[in-house]
Amino acid sequence: MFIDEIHVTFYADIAAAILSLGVYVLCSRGIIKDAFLGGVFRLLLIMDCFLAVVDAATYARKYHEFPGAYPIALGLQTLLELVLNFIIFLWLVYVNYKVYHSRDSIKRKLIKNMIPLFILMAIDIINVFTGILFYYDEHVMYHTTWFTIPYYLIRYFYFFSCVIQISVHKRKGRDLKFFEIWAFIIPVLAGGLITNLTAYSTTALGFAVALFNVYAGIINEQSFMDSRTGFFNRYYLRYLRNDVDDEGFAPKSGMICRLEDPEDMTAFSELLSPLLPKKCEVVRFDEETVIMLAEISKKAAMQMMSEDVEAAVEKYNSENSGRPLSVTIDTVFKKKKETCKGFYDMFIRRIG
Amino acid sequence: MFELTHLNYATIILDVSAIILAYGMLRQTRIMRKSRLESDSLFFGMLILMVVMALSDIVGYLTENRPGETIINLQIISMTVFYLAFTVLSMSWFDYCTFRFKDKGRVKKIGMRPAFLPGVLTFGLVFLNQFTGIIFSVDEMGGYHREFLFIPMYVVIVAYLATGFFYIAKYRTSDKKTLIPMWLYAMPIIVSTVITFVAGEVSMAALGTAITIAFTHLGTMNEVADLSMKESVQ
Repeated sequence: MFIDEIHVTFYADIAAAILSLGVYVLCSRGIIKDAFLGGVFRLLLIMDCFLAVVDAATYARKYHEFPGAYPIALGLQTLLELVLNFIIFLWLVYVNYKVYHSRDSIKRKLIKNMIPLFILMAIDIINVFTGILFYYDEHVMYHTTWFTIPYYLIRYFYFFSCVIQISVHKRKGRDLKFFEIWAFIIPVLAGGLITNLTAYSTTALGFAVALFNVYAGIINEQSFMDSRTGFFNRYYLRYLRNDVDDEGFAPKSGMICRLEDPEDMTAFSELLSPLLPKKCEVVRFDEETVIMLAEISKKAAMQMMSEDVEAAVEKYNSENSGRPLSVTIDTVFKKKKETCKGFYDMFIRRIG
Repeated sequence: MFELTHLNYATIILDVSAIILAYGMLRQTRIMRKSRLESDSLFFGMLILMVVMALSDIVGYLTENRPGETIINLQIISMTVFYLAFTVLSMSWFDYCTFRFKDKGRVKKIGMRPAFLPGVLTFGLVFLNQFTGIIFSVDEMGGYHREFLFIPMYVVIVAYLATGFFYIAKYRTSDKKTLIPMWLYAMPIIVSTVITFVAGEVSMAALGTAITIAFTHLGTMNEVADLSMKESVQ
């Protein structure tokens, strides 16, 4: 017979398992292009599903005394803590790869990233023999000790270190489109705080909602981003046209950059990115063309930007004389009485 | 200060989760909303309705079993809003599936059809329930009771949901890579509706609906991603 509070955990875990399993089925169809990222993400989903099952089992045992209840309770709770710590580690690996796109970076930082994991897991194992973190009394009722406070602090700090990684990356002027760290953190934090401060366990549900948000971001990125340059792709143009109007994004000028050698696209995108104005849309139109729409109305400002791009290319060529870039830049301006959509259509026709 | 039972907390936690899920979907679909396609309008409408369901459900559970005329009226209004939103959502789901899967976007305009007659009737009866108490009632101690038209109302709602799933099941393309399995669409809402109907004191309707809508959206996005990969330069 269930005690009412167990219902809360049960329904939350059922929802978490369904959500995680569903997203796993969706992303197992080869949609995620990057094999490593896809593998880590699928492992996160499996671990969350497993967390929901272990959590439900832990709560199902609650208030029931039977032969073997003590080792089962201790084993399940320890497993729960170990799985949760491992999920946080996997998440940090995911964020690291997302930021640096490099397995070498993960290998270099692996030991550093694993130190808090080892500490937390060591405490979990030691607890089995000492009860330093939590213990079960003679009625197999769960109790925590004062040591859970520093333990949870380490765990929360470990989890939040992903925010530091993202912040450092953004300070270098790089933005991760469609990857909103808070879309992951808020559900996880909400689930964790409810679990720590009440009698209910919603950690697995928090992670499931968070992983759903991440997957939606992955799919958006794959739908609309060009993986080589980090700009939007040509498919995004379908949606851009509906976005340009006099109240929203109102482009007044544009720039068409044509490369002589498509192989130079990656190098050119790295030159162009720091020079882009704040409110602009940049699309890789085809193998050798990048286009930019901006809300810059003054011809002098656009001319200056065009000269900055040419200067950056010249500087690059002086440092890479063996393989110089060759780019032609064409700037286009909106006419006074022309609508934003009219300018957009004319701009696209101009690209050819 | 309100005293809540554990099951009230369960419903509140599940409804808040549904709202967070809906908010996540609304944020992630910013770009899709720029297209302003008919089916996308329906999709976002369903998300909003689901949030309304979750919020009214929370209010309904907070006011349950509390005497007092004002509190009782608030409970009646919130549960009426819940069932109105659920009815419209089920009709929107049916319309969405008809447009996207059965007619494959060939129908130019989504709107009133004869198939909506049971839904419109149900909507009217739910609205009139405030004065008649034929679907649910609240006694003077704030206790919620299901009345004789409760089951027929649920049958209409489930029928619209089921017909939508039927259209999805019949939808076939040559590219099965991006199609998601039927059980993924159906399971969340079936499980949540059964739990809500049987358990009574816990409502998973909003969260189950949110998860089904989430999977439907991800299925659509999978197709967009696949199309984008084929059309874009690599």
